[in-house]
Amino acid sequence: MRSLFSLTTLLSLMLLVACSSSSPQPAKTDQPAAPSSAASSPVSGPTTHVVTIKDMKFSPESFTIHEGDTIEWKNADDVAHNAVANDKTFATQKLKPGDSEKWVANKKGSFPYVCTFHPNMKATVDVQ
Amino acid sequence: MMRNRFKSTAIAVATALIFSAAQLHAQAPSDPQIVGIVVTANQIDIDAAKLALKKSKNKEVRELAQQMVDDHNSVLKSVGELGKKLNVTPAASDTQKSLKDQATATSKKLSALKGAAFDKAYAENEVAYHQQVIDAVSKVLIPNAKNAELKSALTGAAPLFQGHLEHAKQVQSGLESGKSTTAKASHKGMSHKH
Repeated sequence: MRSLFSLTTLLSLMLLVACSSSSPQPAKTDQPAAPSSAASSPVSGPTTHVVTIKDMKFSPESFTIHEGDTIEWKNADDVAHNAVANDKTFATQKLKPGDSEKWVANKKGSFPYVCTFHPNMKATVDVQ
Repeated sequence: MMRNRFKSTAIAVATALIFSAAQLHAQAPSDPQIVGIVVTANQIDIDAAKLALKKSKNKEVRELAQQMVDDHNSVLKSVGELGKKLNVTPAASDTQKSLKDQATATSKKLSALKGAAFDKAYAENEVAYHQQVIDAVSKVLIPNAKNAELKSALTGAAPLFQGHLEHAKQVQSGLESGKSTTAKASHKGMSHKH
């Protein structure tokens, strides 16, 4: 009788574990690896998109976001950089290694931008 | 005016020629010699930038110079760490000696200039110097580096030097046209975090 109880308990526990592991995890805010998918997802409310600056590159170099979303540039490189839109719509300050800065995209359009310290570093953000 | 222009151009051309001559005479540098050349090349540009920070009042020139101090010090730090890791001590070479000799001559010439003439000469020298550094890195240092990590580090540094070249060209162009190249964009709506 006791062993039957233990077996039932064990089976119940296994079932619980199986159910919880197959449950979907809550969606998180956008990370650099998948900015475009987050931009196109039907999630309501503004999203923060991270652009990592590393090895003399903006990553991602090109992506689309929605008006009202936020872009956060994080400098993970060994030297200082900035991000300045060609039309001057936005301009970060000098981002030393480890610094970050955010911009709320409150204007629609295509915004090519550069690091003015290293003008060979180019990227584009499209705000829809 | 004409004399100053000639002087600044002469400095840039002389730098380019000497660096090229040094490359031609270089006999396949060893890894320790490559590290020695990289350290010297970086230090030369830091010293030139420090001179610019001392002499120039031009915003764009000073910004370029401060960037050269910061970026090349960062490269020196990385080179030092890599050298320790690989147990490679910087070694002397003919190329390194030529670089040092030329840097002394350039510094002497730049020191004799003032105001706009200095700014122009410094920017021209930065353009010529970085172009030659890029050529030397891609044609001499990377092909001759034996250690894979050293080769990879040199390859990784190339875009940084290219960025410096383009920035220096912009400053040079701005000085010639008399227009500022500094971004006038507003920082309104931006939130900075250290």
